[in-house]
Amino acid sequence: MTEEAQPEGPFTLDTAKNLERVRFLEGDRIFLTPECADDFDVSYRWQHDREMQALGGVSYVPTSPERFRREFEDRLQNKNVVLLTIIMSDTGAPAGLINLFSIRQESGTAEWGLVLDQNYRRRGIGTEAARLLLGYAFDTLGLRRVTSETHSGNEGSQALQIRLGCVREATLRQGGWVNNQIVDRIFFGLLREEYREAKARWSGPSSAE
Amino acid sequence: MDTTGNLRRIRSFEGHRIFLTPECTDDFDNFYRWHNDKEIQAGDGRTYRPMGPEQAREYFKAQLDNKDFIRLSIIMSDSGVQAGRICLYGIEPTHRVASWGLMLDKAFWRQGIGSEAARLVLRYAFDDLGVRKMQSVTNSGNVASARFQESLGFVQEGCLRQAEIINNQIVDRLHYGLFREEFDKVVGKS
Repeated sequence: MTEEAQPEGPFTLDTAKNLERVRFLEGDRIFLTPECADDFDVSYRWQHDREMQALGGVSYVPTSPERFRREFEDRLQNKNVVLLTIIMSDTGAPAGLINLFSIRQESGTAEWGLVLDQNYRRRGIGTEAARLLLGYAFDTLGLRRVTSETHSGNEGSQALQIRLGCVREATLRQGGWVNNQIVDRIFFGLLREEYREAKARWSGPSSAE
Repeated sequence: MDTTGNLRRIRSFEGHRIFLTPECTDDFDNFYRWHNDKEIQAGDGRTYRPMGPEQAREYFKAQLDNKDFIRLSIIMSDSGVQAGRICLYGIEPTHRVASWGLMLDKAFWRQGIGSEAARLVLRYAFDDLGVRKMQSVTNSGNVASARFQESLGFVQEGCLRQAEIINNQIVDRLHYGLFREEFDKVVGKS
């Protein structure tokens, strides 16, 4: 592997070429592009960012690059998911991942999830990405409802969901395990009508945040 | 169908009117029948999809081969008739939470058979496997299931609004959870 040859630090890699990628959904400061083989390095790094994994509610499992490559490629082959990389429109730096999965057209439902690199949290990047994805889920796919899950250890995510208009629907007591701690699993739901109302609020004439 | 052979099967857990035995290929005929029963599938919160015998056999075999599941057949102690199936799965090694599911033949609904089977499996999960909490999911269209969960001490922990379409009706998905202490309180320590 040649990764040792690459410079340290999160995004000193050549990220500018990300700006040439397809802009599947475009926002003010970011765009979303289908996750692809070019994202392997950053994905592998995120997989080993312990805090990021904990916020995402998954156990931290050190994984060899070879094995991760297999998992990564399998993930990209999965047809029932929409995997998108969040790219900063100015620098091309990857800021995180946002996904729509368990898409069930017959019931009009899906789940979605978001993880952000530590350098891009608390700046409204997640909100912007989520609004783009929700627009796709409701306005393009015509879904009736989306579900998202977080846990009691991730207050940022709960605040984001509420900001988006999602409704807290379930608290599975002590249902999860994150960073050596038992946490509650928390589910949020957003119905199409609620999305429409929220969208009217956030895309008012000024559309300023 | 000769069901008396079932009486010779291993009794993993014994109740008053039933016993539980590891599910095996002999149980395929019932699996196939139940899988193609719209009412049973709706109770289970699944979209009804007819399945042919070949496909069903493969599916059943995959279920039996899945090591993450403990699958048991519910056998009537008097006749040897298989009344249903019950399973335990998703045991989390870190925080000891597990899930379970139950399916009963319609001939055995509303007779307390499910309750007897559930108590045996829950007791096993808590006492032998060291599970701290059991969880299950049902839907708002299945009132009997919600009542049943509550009769076992399960607490409703959430309601995902309009999350499913079952038999052409939009229903909520209900999450239930039960800690060991809550179960002990309801059924009494054994």
